[in-house]
Amino acid sequence: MSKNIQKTEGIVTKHIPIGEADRIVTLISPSIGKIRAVARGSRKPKSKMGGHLIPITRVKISVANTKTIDQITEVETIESFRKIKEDLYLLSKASYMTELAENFVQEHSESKQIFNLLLQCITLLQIAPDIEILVKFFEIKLMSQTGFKPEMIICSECGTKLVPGSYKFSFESGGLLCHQCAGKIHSFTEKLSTNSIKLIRFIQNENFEKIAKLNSTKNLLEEIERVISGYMRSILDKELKTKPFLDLIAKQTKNSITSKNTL
Amino acid sequence: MANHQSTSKSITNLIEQFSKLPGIGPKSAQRLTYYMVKASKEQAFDLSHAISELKEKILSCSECFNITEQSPCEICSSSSRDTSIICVVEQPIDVIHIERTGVFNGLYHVLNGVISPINGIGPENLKITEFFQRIFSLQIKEVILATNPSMEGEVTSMYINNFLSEKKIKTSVLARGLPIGSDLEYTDDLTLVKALEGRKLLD
Ligand SMILES: [Zn+2]
Ligand SMILES: [Zn+2]
Repeated sequence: MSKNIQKTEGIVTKHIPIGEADRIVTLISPSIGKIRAVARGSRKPKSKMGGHLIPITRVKISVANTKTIDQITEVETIESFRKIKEDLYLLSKASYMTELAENFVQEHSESKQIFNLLLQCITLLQIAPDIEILVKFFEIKLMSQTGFKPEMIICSECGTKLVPGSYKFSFESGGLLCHQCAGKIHSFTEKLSTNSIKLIRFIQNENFEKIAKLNSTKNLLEEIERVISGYMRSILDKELKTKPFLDLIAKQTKNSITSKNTL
Repeated sequence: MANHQSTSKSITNLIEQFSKLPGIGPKSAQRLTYYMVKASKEQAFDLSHAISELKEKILSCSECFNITEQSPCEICSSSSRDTSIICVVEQPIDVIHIERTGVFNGLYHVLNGVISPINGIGPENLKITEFFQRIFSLQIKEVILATNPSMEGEVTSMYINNFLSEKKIKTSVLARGLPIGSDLEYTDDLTLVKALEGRKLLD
């Protein structure tokens, strides 16, 4: 039996138990995009694969193409991101980012850009001083890479160049609306202040090193979050599975920070 | 002809039922069905009776959510168990495994699953609120988190631990490390790190 074996690397996004001792594992790889393959016996305690195929782990793998579902034949950890896995808050962010990335990656298609962005952001999660802006950085860059770049320079309906100011963002047209168009379109818009618009533009154009140096972005981020998550929902046409958990942990983290501050 | 059709319908029906069971594919389901065709009437009746009895008699313990024939279950209502210590597990089957070791004499709490962000399963889908309530009403002094060392199990443990550490309740997790009979060479980094962290002094 001649099998076509592909060697690549990937970031594990999820695993689902199947049968007695197997798992179906999903990964994002730079060379062949989304991989969905079975890891036979990976749930057995003595399995050589089980410990490596954990979500949010960067691995080197060999995948054998079979007539039915592809099969993982070898796996080795490159980076396990231990700090993330020991912190619920970081883990909720990493889970969200991997699920989001997975939605934009197809099987058998090169996905180097998305893979690199995801890898960069997961790595930064462990050291970035401001996690919230890192997640926004990830979302906004991902949108640019996948053809959904939020239009922040001209009106996304009529193309009029926008002078500095506060504008409504339309989820449907994926960008800002001039005041005239905003008067005609009422559904699914969210207001953005002058500073929030500037910040989104800055994130679109700069690398994370520069963005991380920005101060006083806290109140802007809440506004941007409403726009980005609304726009993302309209692009994907669904709610992400990790979103409720993300929101719950964010709420609890916020509460524990405020309760610590009041002590 | 009509007769033949009705038999084949009951056969396909049973095959369908069998193949819904975990670990049973269409081939095994077929094999089991044709075995039952040949089996005696008594054996078939015993099987169906055992299954329906299970569903009539087995319920979920109102305290620990383990499966039981009486609620509260035997463990929860026993006077010889240590009620200051509680062991949190994912599934009823985990209780059976820990009980079999005979080294634990406290109470249990069955979560009926694990937090799995990627599958959209949050704390609200599990018996976690019930657990927190129980801790206070029983005045628990120590909690052992015995979820699986999978990512979902760890997330669940961390989530519960966040709550318990605020309440200053002594909490431990089962030691993570190398399975007996395993090979160091093939062990992943995470397991090795955990094994090193959880190393034990020799007497
Ligand atoms: Zn316009
Ligand atoms: Zn009970």
